[in-house]
Amino acid sequence: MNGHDPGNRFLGVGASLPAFSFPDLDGSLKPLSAGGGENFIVFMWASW
Amino acid sequence: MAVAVDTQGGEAPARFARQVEGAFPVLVDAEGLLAQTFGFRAIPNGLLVGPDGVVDAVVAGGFDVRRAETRSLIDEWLDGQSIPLFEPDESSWSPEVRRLFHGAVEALRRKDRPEAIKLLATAFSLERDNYIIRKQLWAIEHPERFYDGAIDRDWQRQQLEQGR
Repeated sequence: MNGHDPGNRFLGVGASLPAFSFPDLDGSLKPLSAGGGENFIVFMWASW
Repeated sequence: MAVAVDTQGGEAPARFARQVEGAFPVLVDAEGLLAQTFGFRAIPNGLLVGPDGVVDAVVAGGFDVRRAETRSLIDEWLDGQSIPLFEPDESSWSPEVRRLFHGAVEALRRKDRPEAIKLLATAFSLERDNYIIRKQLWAIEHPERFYDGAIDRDWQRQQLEQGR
């Protein structure tokens, strides 16, 4: 883990995936852990 | 699982993501929370997560399955091999930059584009190495370079050369 920010804990390898939920393309909230139960990949991208 | 970062919400990412929807979930992180939490200042990134929900690897930048390096890394991870770390060197975004970024998201929700541009420009002035803020600012200021057909990479290179 590199560094620390008091307002927003900085995570790295060994951390549990944060319990965030984000809307899908239709606006329905889905947890980031929706792929849980097996190995899965969170791919961060942007349309810019 | 794909997470798109866009302060403008899901409309712009949907133009690209509808093509892959169904293969895996596509979520939209307008606030940039994931980037802030893991200290990412550029995109694309990858989090390799084990069955227990623990992050086995953080790949900061260049995470692209079209690249052989990325595919090899994923194969090694799935084979249970230890893999090299590519974590960001810096800490998370500063509280002031996060506040400004959040303010820009709120301004866009109110359709106040000039205010969003002002806030993002201030955030970028405080964190010049943050390409997420920089490119988000470009996309709002110059949507024609991003959303009218193909993304104009030559224009982006020119902006970088000119320090914008």
